[in-house]
Amino acid sequence: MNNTLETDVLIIGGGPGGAAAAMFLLRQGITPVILEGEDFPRFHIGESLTGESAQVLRRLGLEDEMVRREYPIKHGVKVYGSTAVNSWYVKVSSRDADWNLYDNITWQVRRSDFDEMMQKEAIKRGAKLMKGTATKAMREEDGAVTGVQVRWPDGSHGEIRAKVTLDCSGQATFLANQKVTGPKYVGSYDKQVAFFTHVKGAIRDTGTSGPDAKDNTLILYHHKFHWAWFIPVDKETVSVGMVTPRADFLAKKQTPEEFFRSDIYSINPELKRRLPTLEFSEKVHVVPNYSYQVRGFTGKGFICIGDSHRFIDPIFSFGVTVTMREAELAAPLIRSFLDGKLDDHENPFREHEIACEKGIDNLEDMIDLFWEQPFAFATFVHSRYTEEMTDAFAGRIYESEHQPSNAIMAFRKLLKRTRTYDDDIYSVPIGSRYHPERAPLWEPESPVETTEAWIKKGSGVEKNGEAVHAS
Amino acid sequence: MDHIPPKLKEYLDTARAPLPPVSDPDEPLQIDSLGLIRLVAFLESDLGIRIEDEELLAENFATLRSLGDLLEKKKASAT
Ligand SMILES: Cc1cc2nc3c(=O)[nH]c(=O)nc-3n(C[C@H](O)[C@H](O)[C@H](O)COP(=O)(O)OP(=O)(O)OC[C@H]3O[C@@H](n4cnc5c(N)ncnc54)[C@H](O)[C@@H]3O)c2cc1C
Repeated sequence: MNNTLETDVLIIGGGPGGAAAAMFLLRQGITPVILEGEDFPRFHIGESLTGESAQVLRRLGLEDEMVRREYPIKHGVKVYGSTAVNSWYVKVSSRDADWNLYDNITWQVRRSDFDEMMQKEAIKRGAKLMKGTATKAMREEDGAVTGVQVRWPDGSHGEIRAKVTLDCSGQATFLANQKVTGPKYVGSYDKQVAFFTHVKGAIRDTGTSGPDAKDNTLILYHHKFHWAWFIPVDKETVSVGMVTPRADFLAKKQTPEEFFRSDIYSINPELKRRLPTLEFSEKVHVVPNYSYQVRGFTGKGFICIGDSHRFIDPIFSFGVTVTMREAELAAPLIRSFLDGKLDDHENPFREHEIACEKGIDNLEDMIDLFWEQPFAFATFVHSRYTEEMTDAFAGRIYESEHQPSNAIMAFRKLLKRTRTYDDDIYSVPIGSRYHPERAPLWEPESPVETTEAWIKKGSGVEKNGEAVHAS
Repeated sequence: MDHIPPKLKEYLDTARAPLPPVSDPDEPLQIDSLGLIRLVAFLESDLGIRIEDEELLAENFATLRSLGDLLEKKKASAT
């Protein structure tokens, strides 16, 4: 293949973000092309869905399909303290049209199965899937993205030209690595590594609803930044993962599986109780659990969605929600853009970018407070801001008339943090300011090419005074 | 410890059980986070002392001295 293909909208990556984007675009009468480099089904992490993820799936008309696949039902999240004597629980909830709270359920999924379902559904509804890897962004002189160069599976090369390119490439952060966006900054949570696998024969609770429902997501706290998850993904299998300081792993000089087996029981007594044997049905995967944030992630001809522009810390399972919600928010704007209704000044998608930024900033404040001030956090959940915390856990973070909620304003007070949205798109984001010395990853003269290269180097790049103080 | 009312001292000693009553103002109270949530509820409803969001820092509740300092500061700013 060496052809040049033209389309209105090109979606790079056919994960949940790309598939949701395709389905929402189809509803706007746009038939997108999805370019995906991998053969599906493929293993992926990110198995616990929030209440808002379920709402997106319902809006996409996929509830029956989720039920048919018998994905384990999540009524809420239970968080165990380090001695497992205490725990707190947040139920899954939704809001009705009048913003009244009601109990709801969501699911936990085996991602290989869920992602394939999403992709097939997008194709069934009319999206065109092309197997191939985006290798280079094509641009006009003014910087506008006009599509990508592609390497097809047979090794040949081609081009896909598009009026709008959606980057749904996940942690590959395609457009950021192509330096189409603003800088990609390293965030606060970059010293941990996640190890995870699927375990058979784990002990679940026995209830049918509430804190003791049998398939809830469990989070087990050990120390600051050191924790584990327990997420049922089908009737027999539970996803178990632990996030540990990178230094612990390096010191032990073990294989990931040896390390997992030797450390998992010491994370939390409750986890030990629930895992009488360690029979794995999946290899032990390892992901460096670093966080990053891409500035200027929309522009002429492009929008980055989900992990392709930001990843904070997976503790509260927000990833799939964020990527699908951003896809949902972007679709009508892309329609307006194609219809020539967005003033095509500097960046037609700037407002969308700020709306997404504000949403994830709410999550970042929540996660930071959890790690920095667990007692205040537990008090908020338990008594002071129970409803607002339920919203935050459900991932209701984009509803600008209700957010930032009083709880989030309280997080900011405790973190001594204010947020403004009028600074320039290249400034160091708050999530990177704890570590200004490692912030300027992506600067025109940066000695470091990519985040991955930076992580390998370990200590980081030299201070860039200008970027550090630009706040 | 002047700012610790007797009722609060009593509450803390009970909350800490089976640990012995606190005698040293700088000894860690060793109340876990759910215990702290109950302590805040006690301060607010039984003693009528409102704890602001930004005062919900574990270090304010770590020892008798830090708790006393917090109450003193609150009293000072109230008058
Ligand atoms: C340890 C850990 C635990 C997590 N736990 C949760 C959780 O419990 N719940 C949750 O919701 N989220 C969780 N997440 C986050 C979640 O994995 C992601 O947020 C989510 O998968 C993002 O979806 P996406 O569609 O944006 O990207 P992805 O699912 O990563 O999909 C990107 C796709 O793009 C393709 N691609 C990449 N580059 C190219 C290219 N150049 N050309 C063509 N195709 C390309 C890839 O092959 C891939 O299929 C977790 C993450 C980590 C690291």
